[in-house]
This record gives sequence, structure tokens and C-alpha cells, in this order.
Amino acid sequence: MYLDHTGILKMYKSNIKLIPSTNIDDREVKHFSSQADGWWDPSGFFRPLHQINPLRLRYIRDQSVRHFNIEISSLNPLKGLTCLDIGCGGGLTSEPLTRMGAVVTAIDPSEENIATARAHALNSGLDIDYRIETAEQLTETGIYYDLVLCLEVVEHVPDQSKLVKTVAKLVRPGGIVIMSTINRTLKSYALAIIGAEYILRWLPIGTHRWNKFLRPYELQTFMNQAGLDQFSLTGIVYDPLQCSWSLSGNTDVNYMVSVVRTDTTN
Amino acid sequence: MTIKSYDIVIVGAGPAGLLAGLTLGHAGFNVAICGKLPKLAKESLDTRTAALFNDSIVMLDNLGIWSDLNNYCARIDAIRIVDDMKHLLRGPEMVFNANLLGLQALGWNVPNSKLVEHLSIANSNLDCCQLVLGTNVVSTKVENEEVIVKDSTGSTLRAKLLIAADGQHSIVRETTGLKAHKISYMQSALTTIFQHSRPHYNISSEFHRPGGPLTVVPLPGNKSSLVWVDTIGAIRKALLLNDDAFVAQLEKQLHGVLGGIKNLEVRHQFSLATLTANKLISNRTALIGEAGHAFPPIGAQGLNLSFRDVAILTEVLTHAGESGLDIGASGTLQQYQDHRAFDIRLRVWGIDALNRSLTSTWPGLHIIRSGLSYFVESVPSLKRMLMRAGFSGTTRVPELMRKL
Repeated sequence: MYLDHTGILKMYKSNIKLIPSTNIDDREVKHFSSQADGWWDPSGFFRPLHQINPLRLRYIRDQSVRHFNIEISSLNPLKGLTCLDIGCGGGLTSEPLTRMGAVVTAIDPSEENIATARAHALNSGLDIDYRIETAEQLTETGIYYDLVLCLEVVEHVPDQSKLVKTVAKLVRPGGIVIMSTINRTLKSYALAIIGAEYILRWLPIGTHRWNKFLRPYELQTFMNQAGLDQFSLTGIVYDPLQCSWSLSGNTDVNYMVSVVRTDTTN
Repeated sequence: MTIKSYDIVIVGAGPAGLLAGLTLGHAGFNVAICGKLPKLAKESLDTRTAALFNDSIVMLDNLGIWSDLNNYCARIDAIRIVDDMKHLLRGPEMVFNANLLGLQALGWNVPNSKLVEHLSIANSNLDCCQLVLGTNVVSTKVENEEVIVKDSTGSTLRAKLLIAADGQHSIVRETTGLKAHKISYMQSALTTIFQHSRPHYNISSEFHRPGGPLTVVPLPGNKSSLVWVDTIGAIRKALLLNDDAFVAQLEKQLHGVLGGIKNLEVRHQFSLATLTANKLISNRTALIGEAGHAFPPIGAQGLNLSFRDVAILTEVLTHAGESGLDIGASGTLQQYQDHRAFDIRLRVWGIDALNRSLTSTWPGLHIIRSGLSYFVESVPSLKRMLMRAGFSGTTRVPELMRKL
């Protein structure tokens, strides 16, 4: 059951067209494409993403710096790292990563998202390789990256285990994968769906489906099966009094994980 | 005609602009400061001094310029407030001593000209900070996620962020359409520096008089700086007096606290106003220092507030920069606005209220003020709380103001 944009309660029928080879949910792509113009508006549809973005970026930076043993001495600590941003949307993470010095390839199945991202990067004077592509299609090229990001994506695809396996194929041996998603708890239902979509209207209704959320151990299992180890977990919590987000040990709602591809064979 | 690109362009080369150039340059940003060095400072005629509280001194020390600048400054151990209102009901003499807060000193009295000199030297020694001095900014506009600044020599500067540090009459503030609330007072201020026969014991004295406060602040040796706020007429008259007559009048006004006065330096006059910008930020622009807030030289708040602006703005921009975020984006600048708004409003309101309470002709107000002074004097915890609020920020101490 879900409420549509007009507020009418509808039975949710599984009428989504699944394209088995691409692991993409058309309904999800349409949903995000329809908001493509709003990606860079900090008070618009993607407001929560803008709010947690500084935190996600700091996490990505710190994890990469630690993993690759980089000495922070400048404003571009990720200099020289190759990075893949899967499901980049309007480029909210791709642009900062480029500023931090990484060489970024960013993919999204939505043509509208990539159009928005390309236009914004041009204005910002940033060189980013944006492609309308799925992760599966990219594996066919046989290219690896030092750092693969898959942020707020896994809760939007039909076959989550398959996505993790695909991601694992795109990171080079010894490289890291950083993923973020939402936990499947009572609290996340109350906060991320009822709170953020229905009450606060931070997100359009229908952005998330609770049963697509993943418990950290489920994600860990998928990752281990895909050959990704050294699972490290961090929660992201919202403090309504300070109106601010922070990293935390509490993973009840939003969380981020970082894993390493430990095998040495391709 | 040249076009150059920077991360940040700062308009205004006064203390706030130069300080911002230095902190942001140290943070690794490519910075250009354009504008003219304050005219008076260049001619070493600026007799104004600023009392910088401990937080601001720590900031100068962290930037490596305090060890030398220190030689021209005097420590302030205590501030004495004397009710010289000539009313029947006199308030008590209040002494705010640093040891009440367990501190070595309340702050230091720093000559403006020396501060500007040291800041500009430090800036020119920094590779990523460029001083484009002696030019006037002709226009600024925002286009395609970029600020474009044109100056009077026809050069163009491009940047991600524009910082307006061009003072009370900020041209940048005007062109960006940010509104400012201004209160003009029927008062002006006279500043000078003089020597005296009795030592000042590192105590600053503030005489609350009907026309406004008259403050003497210690300088090294038997020397002090004067900030005398009074009616426009009284200040104009005092400016016209010859040195001997002025000295005689000043000795009387100081009630002999500093003994005989000699070697009077140049006297300058400044008009008095309170100004608050409605917002400190607009499209890719941030206001710092007097471009965002200005008030009468009472209670030594002005420059300390500017230092806090710079400390917070640098902190916000550094955090954004280190995470690769766009430093000029509204989300980044909003954090600066959120951090500074309350502190600034509180001080502008407080100084305005204090000044009005002095100059008001309504007798009841003097009774209330005297009564409040007695109350504060008799409740030590209240006095300490007041001192903490007055001598440091209202919010948490910014990173740049913490001892390294």
C-alpha cells in the first residue's frame, strides 16, 4: 500500500517492468527523473541529501585517507584516486569528490539526471565523466576504480545482492567501496517514511519503500558473498533540537559502510 | 586588462579584510584582497586603538603575528567604570578585574595602525594570498556559479566567493541589495594618545558622562589612548581648543586618575552610528566586520566581533573546502549566518541600550541604571556571568580562537 502524489490510498501492485539484465526499477528511474531539475536546490525535493551531504563527504574523505594512507596537506586530499559514483543523480557527491582531487566517473540510468549533472558541472568548471549507464553495463568494459561509491542506491534496486556483486566487480583489488542506505527498523519506518515523506514533506511521498531497506548484517552478508571484507559501519543521526546531522554509533535509521576488496585476483 | 581566478576575493583591506585574507590563506585557499589600505594607517596618524580580548589575541598568536605586535600593545588587567553623570543618585564604581574570572588579563590594547601593518606584512608573506592594493572595486556580479569583480584599473577578478570587508559604507553590501538598519546618534567621538605622570597600572577607566562615555585605555609605558564620546557640539569645541587648553580640560575630566598630561598626539573625530545588516549573506557573498555591523566605541566590542566573524567564516569555509563542497553555495554560507546572527544582534542591542541609557534625559532611567549597578556589584556570580558575556563570544569558541 502506498499514498500517491494526490494523497489517495492505493494498493501497490507489482506492475513495475523489471529488466532482468540491468537490475533497474523503471518506476524508481521515473521517480528521480521527474525531480531532475531540483537536484541542486538545497531547500527543494533533495533537501535531506543536501543536509547529510557534508557528513557523507567527510566520511568518504576520512575513510579514503585512512585506507590509502594519504597525508592530508591540502584542500585536495583525494588527488590521483580514481572514483566511480554509482547512481550519481545530479552530481551532488561527484562534484565535491572532483574538487577534492579525485578523477571521477559518474553513472546514472536517468537521462534527465545526467543532463542536470553535466550542466551544473560545466557551470562549476569541473571535469567529470558523466554517463547514462548502469553498473552492469560498466562491468563489461573491465575498468576498475580505487574507490566506488554507491550512496542511497541499494534501497532502490530490485535485486540488492546482485547490485553488491556488480559493485564488487568495479573496485580494484585493494580498493574500497562505500555504501549508504537506510536500516529496516520500526524507527526508520517512523522517521524515514512517515516523518520525512508524510509529515515533514522533506521527500516526495513514495521515494522510499520500507521493505527495500536493508539491515546492516544483511548488507554485510551480501558484501562478504561478493568478496568485500573489513566491514566498517557508521550511523548517521538527526538531532531535531540542533537541526543538524552527525555521525554516530547509532545505525537505527541512516548508516554508511565501508568495505575493502581483499582478494588479489581479478 | 587582466582576468584572474581565485577561490575567494575579499573587498576591503582594513583589519577585518586583512585578517580574513590571512586565515583563509593559511587554510589553503587562493585569496585576493582588493581595496586601499586605511588612509590613516598608511600615514601612521591613526590614533585609534582597539581593546582585543583574549580570544582575539589567541587568534593573532595562532597566526604567528602576536609575538612581534605584542611589543606595541599594553595588557589590560581590569576595567573600571565610574559613574560621572552628576546625578544625585550615583552608581557604585564598578571594577571588572581579570582575576574574577581566574584570568591573567582581560585583553590587550592594540594600536590600529600597528595591527594593520602587521596583518598586511603577514599577508604579503603568504604565497596563496595576493594583495591588489590601491584600486577601487567598480562592480561585482554573480554569473554561472561565479563572482566577477571589476576594479578601477580595468582588471577582472573571478572567484567562488566574495567577502565584503569594506566597512560601514560597504559598496558590496549596497550592490548586492542587502539592507542595513542604521541608527545615527547626535554624538561624535574624539580619539588621541597622550602621556601621563601617574602609571595606569594596566587598568582601563570608563567615565560614564551625560554626553556619552569617556574611556582611557593603557598603552605601553606611561601612555594611554583616549576615546571620548560626547555631543557633536562638545567634540567640535574640544577639537578647536589648543593643546594646552585641551590637556587642562582632559585632566579635569579624568579626575586626576592619571596625573598630569603631556605629549598629546593628533586628535581625530569620528561620527557615531549603529548599523546592522539584515543578513550577512547573499548570493555568493558574505559580509564581515563593519560591513555587517558597526556601533559606537563603547565596551570595546567592535573589532572583537569582527575577529569572531573571520574565525567562524574561516571555520565554515575550511570544513566545506576540505569536504570538496562549493564554498560559495548558499548551504555553506547559511552556516556562517546561523552562527553569527545572535552574537551580533545581542551586542548591537546591548551597546545601543547602554549608550541611550547614558544620554537619555529621562531621570527614572538613571535610577534604574544605578540600581542595576549596585545589584551587579553585590551578586558576584551575576558579575562573572556578565564579564564572560562581555569579554568573549556568546557562542562556542571558534577553532581559530583555541590555543594550539
